[in-house]
Amino acid sequence: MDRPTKLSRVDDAYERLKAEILENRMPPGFQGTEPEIAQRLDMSRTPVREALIRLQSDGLIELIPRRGVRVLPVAPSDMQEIYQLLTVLEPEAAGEVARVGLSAAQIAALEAATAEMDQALKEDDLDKWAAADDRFHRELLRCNGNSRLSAFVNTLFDQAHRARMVTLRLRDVPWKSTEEHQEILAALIAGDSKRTRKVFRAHRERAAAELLDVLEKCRLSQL
Amino acid sequence: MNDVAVSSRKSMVERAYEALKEKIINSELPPGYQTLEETLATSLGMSRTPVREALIRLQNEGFVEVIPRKGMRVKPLTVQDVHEISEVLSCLECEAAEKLAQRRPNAEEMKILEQTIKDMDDALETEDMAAWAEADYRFHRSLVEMCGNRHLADVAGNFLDKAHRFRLLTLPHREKPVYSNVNHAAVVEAIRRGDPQSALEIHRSHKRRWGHELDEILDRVNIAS
Repeated sequence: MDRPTKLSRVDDAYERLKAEILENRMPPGFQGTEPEIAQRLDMSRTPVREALIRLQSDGLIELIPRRGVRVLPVAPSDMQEIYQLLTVLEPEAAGEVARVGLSAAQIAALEAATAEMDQALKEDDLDKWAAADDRFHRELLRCNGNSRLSAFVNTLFDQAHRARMVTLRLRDVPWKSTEEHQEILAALIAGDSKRTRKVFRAHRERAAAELLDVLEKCRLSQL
Repeated sequence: MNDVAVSSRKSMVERAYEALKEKIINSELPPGYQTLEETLATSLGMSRTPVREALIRLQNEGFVEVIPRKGMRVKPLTVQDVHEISEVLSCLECEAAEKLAQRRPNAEEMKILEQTIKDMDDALETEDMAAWAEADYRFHRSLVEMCGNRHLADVAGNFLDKAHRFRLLTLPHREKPVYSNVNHAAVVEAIRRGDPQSALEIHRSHKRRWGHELDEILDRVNIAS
């Protein structure tokens, strides 16, 4: 029975390394050799190597012969490209969800996320807000039946995560964004795919402009 | 290990990856085909290590499934796969066409686009469907690569490879794709004029029409289940 064990060891290494990168414990520009990374996770090298190859195709790290691994920084131009893709793909996915219709459980999950965003702002807890925001987008994506689209958009979320966290405290309190999520949800529940696409697109375009503006003002050239 | 050994190992992985991907796309390694790592290594004239790493990459990209101790299996294409890929590509390509028309490609880039159209026309005239498929693939590829968004180009490239595999598999079952040529030529013309709205709309309506043809093909042909 070494198959499930081996597979889950790779998954385990992958998830743990991804968390190290997204939460800035292995920050952009971080370099380490494979044995160092294996030691850090207290695992053998084979699953770690496979996990690293996966993270490389997610665009989070680069494998450098002999030197091991480098965590890739994200530049504002990357963020611009990533948001451009999100602006195209997410509204399309959401429009399809509105057309097909949501189950009561799916609506409840999305309502819980928007309620929590609202509550978090009232409590002045930006981390909680960001987690609820992230959950709204991922839950909605899960409602779409296109697993390839979901997998790819999730990778984009991961790539944008650090920049979002850094800018979270550098921008205005996201009341507007919270309102927009409620608007998107209302359009989804109404089954109005055209309106869902439109409000979602506007939400993404505004958020992208705001984020890029902050990056430029604060002269953050690498994240 | 010295530098030469390392860089040659890296290029070995790259070579194994490219060679295997090509064999999968042109169905030399057909959907469902299962084989040992060692057999693949022998057929490529390589050792097992680079082949193994190439297979992990191909697994991440959804082309194969690595089976511990048994090698690998080429993933079959399901109807759902084909629909999902086509849906994602349709969004990305329309965006690329719009952006490309906005930024007005230079003369050299226009020449590349126009050449693909000419090659598609020539191929239809001589009824060389393999040449047509290759030129059609090149058209879609150029569109996403020139649009100016590298992230879009990377991911669309991967989806285009998968779509190309399907294109080659279904080629014998398709009607003569005259309308593809006409529509693609119209998109290139809109890009040349710098008319993003038309580029987007023409390509979108082309993608919609292709979606319907796709359904018919899937009904008719039993390549996917």
